Amino acid sequence: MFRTVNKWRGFVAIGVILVMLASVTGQVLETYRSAVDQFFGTRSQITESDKLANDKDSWIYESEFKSAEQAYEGLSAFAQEEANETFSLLKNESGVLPLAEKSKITMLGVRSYAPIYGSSGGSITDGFSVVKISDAFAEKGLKLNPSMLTTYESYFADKKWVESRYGSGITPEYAEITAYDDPHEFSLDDLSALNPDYRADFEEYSDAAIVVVGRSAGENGQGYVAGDGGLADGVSTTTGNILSLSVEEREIVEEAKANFDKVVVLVNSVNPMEIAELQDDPEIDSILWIGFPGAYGFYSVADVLTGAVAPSAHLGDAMAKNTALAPAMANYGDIPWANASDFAEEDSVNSYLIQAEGIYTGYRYYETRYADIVMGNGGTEASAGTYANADGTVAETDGTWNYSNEMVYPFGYGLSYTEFEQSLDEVNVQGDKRSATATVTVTNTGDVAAKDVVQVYGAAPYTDYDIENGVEKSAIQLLDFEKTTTLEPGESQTIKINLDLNNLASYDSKSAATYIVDPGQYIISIGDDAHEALNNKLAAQGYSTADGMTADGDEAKAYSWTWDGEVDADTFSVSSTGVEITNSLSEGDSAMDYNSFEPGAVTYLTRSDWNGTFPETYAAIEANEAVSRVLRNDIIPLKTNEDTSDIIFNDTTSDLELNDLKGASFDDPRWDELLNKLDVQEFLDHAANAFHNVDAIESVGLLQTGFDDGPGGSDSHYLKEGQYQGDPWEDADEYDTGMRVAPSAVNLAYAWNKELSYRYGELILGESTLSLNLPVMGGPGMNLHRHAYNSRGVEYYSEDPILSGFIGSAVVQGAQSKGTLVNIKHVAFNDQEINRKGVAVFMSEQKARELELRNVQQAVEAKGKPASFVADPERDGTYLDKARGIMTSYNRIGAIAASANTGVMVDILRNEWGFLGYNVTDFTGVTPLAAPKESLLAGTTAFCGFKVEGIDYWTADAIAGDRDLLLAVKDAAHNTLYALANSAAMNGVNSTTRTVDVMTGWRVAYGSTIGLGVLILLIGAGGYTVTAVRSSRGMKGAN
Amino acid sequence: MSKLTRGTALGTLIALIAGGLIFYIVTSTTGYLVGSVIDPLPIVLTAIAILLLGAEIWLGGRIRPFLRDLALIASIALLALSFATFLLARVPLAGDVYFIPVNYPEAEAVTLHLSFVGLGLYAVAIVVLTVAAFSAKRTSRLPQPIVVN
Repeated sequence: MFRTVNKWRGFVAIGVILVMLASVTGQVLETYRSAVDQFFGTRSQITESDKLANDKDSWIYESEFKSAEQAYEGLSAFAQEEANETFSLLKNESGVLPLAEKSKITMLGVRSYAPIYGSSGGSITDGFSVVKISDAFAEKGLKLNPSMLTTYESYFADKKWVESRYGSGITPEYAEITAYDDPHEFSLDDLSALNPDYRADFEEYSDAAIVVVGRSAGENGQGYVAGDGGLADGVSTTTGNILSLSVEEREIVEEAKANFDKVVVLVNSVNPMEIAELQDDPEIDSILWIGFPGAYGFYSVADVLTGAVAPSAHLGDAMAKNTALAPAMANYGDIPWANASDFAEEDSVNSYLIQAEGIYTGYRYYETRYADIVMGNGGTEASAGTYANADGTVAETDGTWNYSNEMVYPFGYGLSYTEFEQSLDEVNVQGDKRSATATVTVTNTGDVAAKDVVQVYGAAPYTDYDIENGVEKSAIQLLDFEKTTTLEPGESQTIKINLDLNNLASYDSKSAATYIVDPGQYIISIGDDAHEALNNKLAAQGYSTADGMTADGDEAKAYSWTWDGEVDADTFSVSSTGVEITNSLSEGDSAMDYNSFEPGAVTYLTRSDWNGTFPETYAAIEANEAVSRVLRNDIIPLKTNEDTSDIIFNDTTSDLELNDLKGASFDDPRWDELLNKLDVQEFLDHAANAFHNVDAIESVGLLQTGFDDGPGGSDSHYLKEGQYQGDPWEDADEYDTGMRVAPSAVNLAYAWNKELSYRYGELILGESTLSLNLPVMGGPGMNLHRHAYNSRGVEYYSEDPILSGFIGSAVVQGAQSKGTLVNIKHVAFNDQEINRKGVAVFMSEQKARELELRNVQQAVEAKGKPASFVADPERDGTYLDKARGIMTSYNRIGAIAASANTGVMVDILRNEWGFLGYNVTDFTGVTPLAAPKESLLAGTTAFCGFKVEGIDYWTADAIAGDRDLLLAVKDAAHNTLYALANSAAMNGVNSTTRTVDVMTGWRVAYGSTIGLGVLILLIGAGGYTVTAVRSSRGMKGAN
Repeated sequence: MSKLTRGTALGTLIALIAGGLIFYIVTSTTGYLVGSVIDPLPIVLTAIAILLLGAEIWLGGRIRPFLRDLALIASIALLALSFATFLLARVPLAGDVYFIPVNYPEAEAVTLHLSFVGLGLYAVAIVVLTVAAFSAKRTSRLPQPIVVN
């Protein structure tokens, strides 16, 4: 073939290169296998079992879906059922809504054509499933203005929805109009340029103008920023904040007003927008908050617009006139440590947040300050820059704080197409102070069948003791809620609600160092929203509009009682597990109160002096030695010389496997025997490789287990992978849609429906587990909305710990009933995307315990059982199991890595709440950022990531002389195995179950490239040798 | 090949390879990765490759063709291994920036993109050497058979 060696030499070179590079590529792909699977939607490892005679016993959990069609139809039906209850009617003058069934409407606004269906990042709505707004409306009988449709279509004709970078398929949004600093609304000139005749059909399609305004949200970018810094060049809004209407949006609204008698505005945003001008405008007839409706949600929007369904949602966040004036906003965003450059890059020391607003976030701030003004306790005086003018702009001179200038729609607000009357029939408060019952009757006094929400609020007295000891009290706080069934006109429903008065206790970190109950007057009140409930409470205390109330309250809707005596620091000083509750976050390495590191540095907002303590921005703080030591995370020395000979590992005398402990309690004595088999290095390797994956631990019979995000259902897997009891669905190939079809988490919370949330857990998370064989799911998302600007708030529920806590708890219980090992995330205090990896979050222990942690506690401790479940014997088996999984947060809790904060992870989570189960970090890997040994000692069981980097002690040999760490390894393994043994990870597992590698496309690619390289190399070497020898012989012959 | 040409070729190659190595060292010790432990393998392997190449090109026909070819292939293999080690060390950064939804610091992206430059220089050097492996000019230095009429 080739007579000279050069070609063969070249082949050898190519062969060498191919083999080298393909081998390295293969190594990389296998190392990051779970991320690669996520990206390509493949599954490189599966578990297989042989069918056995007694197989039925091995299937503990059963899916509802036996085919892809069933799953598709079932998910679609649920998504619409959920969406129906998640839209909040905020304004409806003259009964403009509902429209007639086949109304001819004109849709205005870029979001009327290209709305926001769901999150932009994380829990992305499945683009393969989405029914577009225009199609959904048309299918429901609405007639849409064709010239407006044509106008928008002409802009989007050459544009496509975004292909997700992270394995979530198609994101149903256009990159061209998605930004955090620009609503990208079209001006009227823009519309004319697209279609000079865009007004041509206004007259014919004049039953109503539907204007849609919106803001996107997701786990991407930095989120929203208040003021000028949050506006792109050329963008101008009413108040100067991006969450206020832009000039172009106002133009569209004016166009609607000028040309239509009926104007309806849909608010397509989960970050609370500033819509005072819409509220106040008499020519805006109706405002409907729709949030992010999900894949099929615009069917439901159409149903609500036409009255096929009556709206029943209530806001789960207060809507303020100027969101930038919330006290929390004084300390938001990028506030870098002055000496951040003193730290190594790997320490991730970037910035901090001093949450000086204390408990006064959301309605707690607005309603409490209002109450203090009414009661003559101050709060009127306000410094420049801390309150709003009547038009919502920031006041630039000192003046007067006025509730009406601050609040547009209060927490809990929501109208209906009918009228309801609620009566507080009875309240019984137990003498032990721990619980009460409230019986409320709801009557539909209108003409339309609808559901209503019972909101029960509580109020504790604010005493001299509180002022002296820095214990803050919200004037009103949500204690519990229930949603009625659909009530026909004239129908009533009486609901008895069991109230947990633990949630009314206050945390006193200064004096009692535990929860306290002050002596004084306590009030329980109901209302259609927090403000109305507060007014009812104030009425019961003798206040009226004469005192400055916005409306007279109804004292009949309030019940008061008095606790006498001294401050009670006993009743709530012991947890449900019998553990003493005392300060865990006020001092030491776990401290969240920055004053513990630097006394007097922080002044927290107090209602005893609203104006004098209104938060300032704590900028340019230099981390002192005490803080710096903790920021470096490496605070516990590794011991090397301790006697650990009594700690048993690698004991192979036992035949026990994990499968033998299927369903076992945490205290089952057989765990000790199984854990004695554990190999330490194997566990450490398992724990370091937890990116969307629970790696195998062969020594104890743990097989590799599937894990996926997120709160909205499986991010990376689709119905085409579906199966029933291990057998693939026969019609799986016909469906390429996914699970992420429901409305956003905010929408779910705004439904105020625990039963619906339970069902969400069963279907969206539970069926992700059972149908797609993903036993571990990263969700629900349960951080609180500290303010309006966190873009990731789309995956979280509410500003309120009880609304969020009970909704999250219901989702957890529903999911766990299907065998899902949930990962409640993020624990805790993930308030913003900016610098989320490493930002140090500081606050008072009262705020930490009463807001974010109280919220998570409800889900961990299985609280908030719906009244209907309590009354139903068939539901006796629900809400018995605590949550068995959490994911810790990227941010630091105080100065230390979240997973290493023993105050939260040990004292509170494990000891006070009795949490047992899987505790995985967010995507940190085993790196200095994660403080691995500190985290392991604090109860972390795994580290989401692929790698050990920058840590030299993550080996069995390195920790062999550290008793605490070895015992922590055993404890972590125990918790992991217990959680998995009580989940669908054991579904279908029998004695033949094994993990099998699958030849995915990417494996074929690199494998065949290696093979080709070897072949070329061998051919090249062979050809070179033959040619060289021949050439040499030829020369000898010639010689 | 004349001494001048040989020297030019050697100099160009070494510049490419050294450039790649410099980018590796700089990105491993400054910026996002400052303070992290640098893997010495690419440095060692690249140095050996440079030495082999230098010897092969400079000595030219004074060594047996087989040894020259072996040195060339060995250099390619060493550079490919250096490239692979360099690449492996940057995969976590690429993961953060391109594949996994985390908010990465700007310094990480800068380090990654600078690394791409270094990897690119290595790749060019490897391609140049591979092309050279195919070159008949190398074979022509083999002794020609003497034809006796």
